[in-house]
Amino acid sequence: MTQPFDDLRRYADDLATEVSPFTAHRAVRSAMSPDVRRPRKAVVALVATGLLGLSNVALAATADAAVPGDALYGMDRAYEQVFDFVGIENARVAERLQEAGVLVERGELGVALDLVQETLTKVLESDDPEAEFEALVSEVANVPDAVADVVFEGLVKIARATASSDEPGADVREAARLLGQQLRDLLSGRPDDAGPPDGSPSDTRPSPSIPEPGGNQP
Amino acid sequence: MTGQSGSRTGASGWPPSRPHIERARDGDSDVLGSILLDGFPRLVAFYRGMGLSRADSEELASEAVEGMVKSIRRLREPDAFEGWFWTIARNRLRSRLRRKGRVERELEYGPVDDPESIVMARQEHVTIRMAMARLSDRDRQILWLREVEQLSHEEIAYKLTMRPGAVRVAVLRARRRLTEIYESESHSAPVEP
Repeated sequence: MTQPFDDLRRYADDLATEVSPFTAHRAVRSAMSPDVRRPRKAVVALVATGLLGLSNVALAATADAAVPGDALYGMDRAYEQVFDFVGIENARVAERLQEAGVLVERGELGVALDLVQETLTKVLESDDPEAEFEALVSEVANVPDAVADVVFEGLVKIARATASSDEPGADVREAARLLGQQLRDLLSGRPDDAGPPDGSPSDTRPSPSIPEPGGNQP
Repeated sequence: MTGQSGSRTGASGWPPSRPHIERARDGDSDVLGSILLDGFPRLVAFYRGMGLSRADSEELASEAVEGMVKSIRRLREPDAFEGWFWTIARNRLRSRLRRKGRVERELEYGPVDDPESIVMARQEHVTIRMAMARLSDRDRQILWLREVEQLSHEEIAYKLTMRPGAVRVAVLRARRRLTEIYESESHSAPVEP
């Protein structure tokens, strides 16, 4: 039976035809006009900075070093959102992993795990997950093994949490599996004599294993 | 999409040819603008097909186009263009739905939700719209990409981060569900005098 699919295609054609060329041109022109957008962003940045108060610069710098559980952590994230909004993007993945490292050192593994999960979710849902994956992988290669363990735990937790869900769990599960494989390959390829920065033995970390919900690994 | 924008052969500009994609990626703003002009109506149609209003769809398509302009330089493999294009489109939709909420969106699937829209007023589209409204988000997206955009299973797999085999099964199931619902809606639709 082809009628519903023929109808669907006709419907789609009609919807596309209904878009006025003026609307399309305006949208594309706006998207491709950085000279128009940048001054607006600059104004927004100035206003936002003014509203936050220039005197808070020192506070922002202090808050930048905060981790979840610290009094200034909420302020740190708020500043990040403002910077993201005005287009001043930073290496958030690296910062989150560094924060996770501090938490691991403090023994707060649960909070570290939540932080890693949040970071992974953002990576998976970004516009360019492949590039973000690569950034994450390269960052994981630079952090202590204890943090890499937490990353793996995050993957395991995501995989388990989404195992019984049809949507969007399947996306996240598959993406988590792919990322887990990349990380596993990366870390298994490390030279044996490359110990962690603190000088502790490097081979004490258990071999990570990513569960395959439903047992359908290709 | 078979009408204004053409088939998968690329004869009418969509999908764009590999040289065009490479030129756009390498900074040729004229070519990039031309590609995005062809893609914009497809984005709007996709969002409206997913149940968003025309105004929301055009706004979301504009945001998606902006995201594409920002990230086109990171598209290393031109053959992955459509996967990249629809990944951005889908991520924007996901973010929007998270903000707006499901209930409001479903209500927009009424028989005529836009008095100024010729398409929404067409009786011939009511059945397919109501049938699409009863599908899950995932089924709607898979069917649209497969039946309207005619993406391959591999391209859909890339976009949805699924295995091609799983996409084949999902497409078959979604097709069966749409057919069943469509027949049900056809029988219950009021007959024009």
